[in-house]
Amino acid sequence: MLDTNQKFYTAKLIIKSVLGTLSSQEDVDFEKWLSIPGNKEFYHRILKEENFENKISLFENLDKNAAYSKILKRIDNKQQTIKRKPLVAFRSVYRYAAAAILLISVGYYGISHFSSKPTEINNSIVLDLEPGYDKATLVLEDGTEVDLEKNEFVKTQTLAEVKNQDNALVYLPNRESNSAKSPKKVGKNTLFVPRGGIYKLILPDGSKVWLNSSSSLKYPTSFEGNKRVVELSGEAYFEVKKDVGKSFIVKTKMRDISVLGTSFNVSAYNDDAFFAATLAEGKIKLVGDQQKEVYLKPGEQAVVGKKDLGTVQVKNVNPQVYSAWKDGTFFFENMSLDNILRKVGRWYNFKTDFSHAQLSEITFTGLASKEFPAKLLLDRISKSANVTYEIIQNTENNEEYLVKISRKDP
Amino acid sequence: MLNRETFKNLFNALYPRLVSYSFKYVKNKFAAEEVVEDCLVTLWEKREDLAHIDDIKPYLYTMVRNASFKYLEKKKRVISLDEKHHDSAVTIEQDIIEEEVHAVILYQALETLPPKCRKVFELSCLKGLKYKDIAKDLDISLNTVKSQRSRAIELLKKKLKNNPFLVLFLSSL
Repeated sequence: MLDTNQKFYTAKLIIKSVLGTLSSQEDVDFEKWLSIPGNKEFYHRILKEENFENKISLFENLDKNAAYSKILKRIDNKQQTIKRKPLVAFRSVYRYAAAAILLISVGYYGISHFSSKPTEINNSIVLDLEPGYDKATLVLEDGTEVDLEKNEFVKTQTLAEVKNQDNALVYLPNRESNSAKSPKKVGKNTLFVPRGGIYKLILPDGSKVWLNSSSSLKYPTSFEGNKRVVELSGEAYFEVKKDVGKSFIVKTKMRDISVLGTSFNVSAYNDDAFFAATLAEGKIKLVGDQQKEVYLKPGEQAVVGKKDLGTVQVKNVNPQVYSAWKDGTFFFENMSLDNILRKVGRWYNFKTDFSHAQLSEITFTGLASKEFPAKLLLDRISKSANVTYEIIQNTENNEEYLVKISRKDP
Repeated sequence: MLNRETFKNLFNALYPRLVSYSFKYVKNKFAAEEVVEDCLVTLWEKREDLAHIDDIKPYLYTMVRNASFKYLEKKKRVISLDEKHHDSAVTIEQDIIEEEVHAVILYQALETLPPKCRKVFELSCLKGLKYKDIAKDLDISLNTVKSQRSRAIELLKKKLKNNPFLVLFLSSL
């Protein structure tokens, strides 16, 4: 037995355990490996069904023949310097389109070779858009930016230690801060979640925050004094740790929210025509510069329109509808197509254009999983209303997409 | 030393899992394909220098990993912290184990099984359903389930045995 490389031996043990063909010596080795803390979880994680399914779809969308002939070409043309532009717009769309067609028309299994390629594809039309995933950028007190997508790290800053793990950013209060007599200046961190992203954050007081796509939250690395103040742009769901002596304040452009300990959703996007706070539990207070304070009870939602900043509309809603985004679902209740697509577009990274303004006012009620590509939802919308759509890629900036909604031809 | 034929075998055996491995880092299928393509071309070009390496697979994994980071750096998605220090050795090992297990079970083996066999194998070995429930689900007899399962395992063993790049570590299957 050659196991100079332990990891390959471990892989072999796992495969054999799945096939049920472990020899007695291997069985001993396998059990020994499993007994190491963490390995059991790892074992179950890699054998999880959805893990397999994702892998199958990745594997089956690989065009091995094409890849191999490309490699051969490069090998044979060695003398010729090979210059490649990474991911040129046309090429990436072209291949993307090929992959998408495959998924739609053939499905999962049984596609090991596809060499025929669609010959005519407009280079600006895209067939589908992938959903977003956990990603964010953290800006530290000294201005350093950290991409959290792939970085598992622990970093110590003034008065706090911060850890990025399992798609969540966690602040641990630094014990020194209590013993230190001279108060140090507390630094501020900002968490940016781009379009197509989502991230979870645990603040130094233990309060949890889910930050939605295209949103940012600014907060101190340690809450000193008698207030816990954070600044939000975009949408977030808060589960605030109760601390009677220290009220928790969410500042937004249009209204501030003051709470003691509770769970609520705040939507305060600059590109939305409204601000909305939805309370799930506890009690919150809306505070404006000039306006009267408004208290919300659980199940109530306060909406402030940009056109009339002084008026707060309070209505009863199902709060779960407004926080479903953090658990992987889009939930729409009598929502206009305009608002729906703005919300959905933040996740799939597209903007929307309507051929006729009336189309933007069609309302929908329903739910959709955030895990599927955009096409599924767009198809459903197109089926249930008299509209069609087209996904267009910006040829100058191939990271920008536009969904064009128009009337269905009679 | 690699020749055209061994290179092709190596490509066939390892290409999907290397793309999948790179995908873990670069999060983009096309980028992952390009990274692996580059690595394989480099491997071919350097084949004389690498002639002393017995097992090219661990070497390729490392190569793909480094190339993936280089791609990310170029794309400026890694801003300040050096990933290599934050990605622990444990995670790297686990990533590779995961690719190996998935590639062998899914790609090398599953895709070649007859559909019914595969279904039974998936339900019984991967999903861990009881024979009784599989029989009910697929509307076949208990004995068929058992025979299809052992047939699947036999076929897999054979398939794995015939693959020169798996034989290295699966020879006793």
